[in-house]
Amino acid sequence: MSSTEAKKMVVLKSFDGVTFEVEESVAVQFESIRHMFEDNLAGSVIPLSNIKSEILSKVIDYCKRHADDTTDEEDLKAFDADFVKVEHGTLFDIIRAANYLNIKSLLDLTCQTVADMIKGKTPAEIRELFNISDEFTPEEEEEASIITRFIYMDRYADC
Amino acid sequence: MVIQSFVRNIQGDKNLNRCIQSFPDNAHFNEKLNVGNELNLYSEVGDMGGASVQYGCSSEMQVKEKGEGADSCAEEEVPHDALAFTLSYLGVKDLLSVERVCRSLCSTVQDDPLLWRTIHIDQPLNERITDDVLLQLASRSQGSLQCLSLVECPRITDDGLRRVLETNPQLTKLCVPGCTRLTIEGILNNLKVFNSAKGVQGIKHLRIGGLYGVTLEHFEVLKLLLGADNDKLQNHYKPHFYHRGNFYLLCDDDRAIDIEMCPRCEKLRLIYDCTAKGCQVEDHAAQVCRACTLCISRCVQCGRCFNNTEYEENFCLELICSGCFKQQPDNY
Repeated sequence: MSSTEAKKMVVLKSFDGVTFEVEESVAVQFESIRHMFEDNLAGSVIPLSNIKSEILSKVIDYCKRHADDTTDEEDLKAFDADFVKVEHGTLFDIIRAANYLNIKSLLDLTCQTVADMIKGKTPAEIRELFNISDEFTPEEEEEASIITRFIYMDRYADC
Repeated sequence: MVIQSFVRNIQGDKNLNRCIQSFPDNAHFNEKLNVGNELNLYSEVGDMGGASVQYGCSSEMQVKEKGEGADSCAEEEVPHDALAFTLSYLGVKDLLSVERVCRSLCSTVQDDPLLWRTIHIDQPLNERITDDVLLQLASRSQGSLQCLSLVECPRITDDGLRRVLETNPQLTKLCVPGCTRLTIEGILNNLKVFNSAKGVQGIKHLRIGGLYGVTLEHFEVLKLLLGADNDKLQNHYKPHFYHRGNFYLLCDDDRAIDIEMCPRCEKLRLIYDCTAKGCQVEDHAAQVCRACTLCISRCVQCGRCFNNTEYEENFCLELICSGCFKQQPDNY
């Protein structure tokens, strides 16, 4: 892309009404809405009615960084590592946005981060981690399948 | 299964129609589901007509109402809906933990066949998994199981494997290295029955490293069943290095079968390449340092042979080359 040429811009509007103007080279990473600006809807605003401005700005930051060919791989890794150091709620919102916009690399990055948090944890630890309190009743625990018994045995019998 | 996927499909379409700007949160999820069941779904729609659509919509509404109710009264306490997307990044052990977290995650994990399309069991579950548990896990894929990998699972029997194969016609990769109760005869029989069934692609990749008593005759039949010819077997694969935790070839490798004839003892075993400089020869046929571990012992740490170098034996009776031994912090 030559710098003298005027860059094509795409305007995105978040759920709470904030508009973002991004270069098309960045917006092409949003697979699911790609057709909207590629169908020559120049100048029109693309509404993203389930993404908050706070999240959308993060997603755009990510895509800008990843669209930039000049960044070397080490820097990009460091950026990614920093990028996912956010509150759980924010991280989940980013996952939802990445899924909705169909940005594969961002979805992989964020989902892998959550998966790494879950890995090796007991159900109680996962409940605590994500502040989930919709537990099973003792009767439901009792009815648990042989598969569950198999994993519980594994966890407690060995230590 | 068809009905369930169908309901989800309706949900996706409905949301899309409702308003193009408010994409369904789980669009990606639906998309994934639809790919696998596409044919099934469409034929189902055709068969059942309007009534089924009605059914799909009403159950979708029920689900929605329930979801909204839970959201409004206790937003902090139910799992975030995006957690569902991360489940496909988890292995069997962690999925089973997530399943016991709460009711909603329990049904999410149990009812999504895509999460169970690949089942990989290794430590620590390998010691405990039985035929019955395996069959239950496999049944969660609702017949879509494609890759079954059981590493050193001593309780799994030939009969257990037969039952899994019977209900999972889409299986193409079977990886059972170090499963000591399996026999070569049992595997051959299972494979013969499975791969000759009608409308089945059949198993194309087999891992039986560590299995005893494999003869050349067995090996030839296996190759025939897998559709692997000799040329393909010998060349063009990335080398397999001996390393603690990497003794077996798993399904991430392209070759059809993991064992081959050892160039030295001519037994059918896992063959390792050498990591030592000078031992690696470009031309595969002329390679000298390539054999089973009985013919050429190797360092458990770096995978090199001990040709002209010193080595030590550690407490676990593992052999370690002097170079690696010196690098260990405590020389245990």
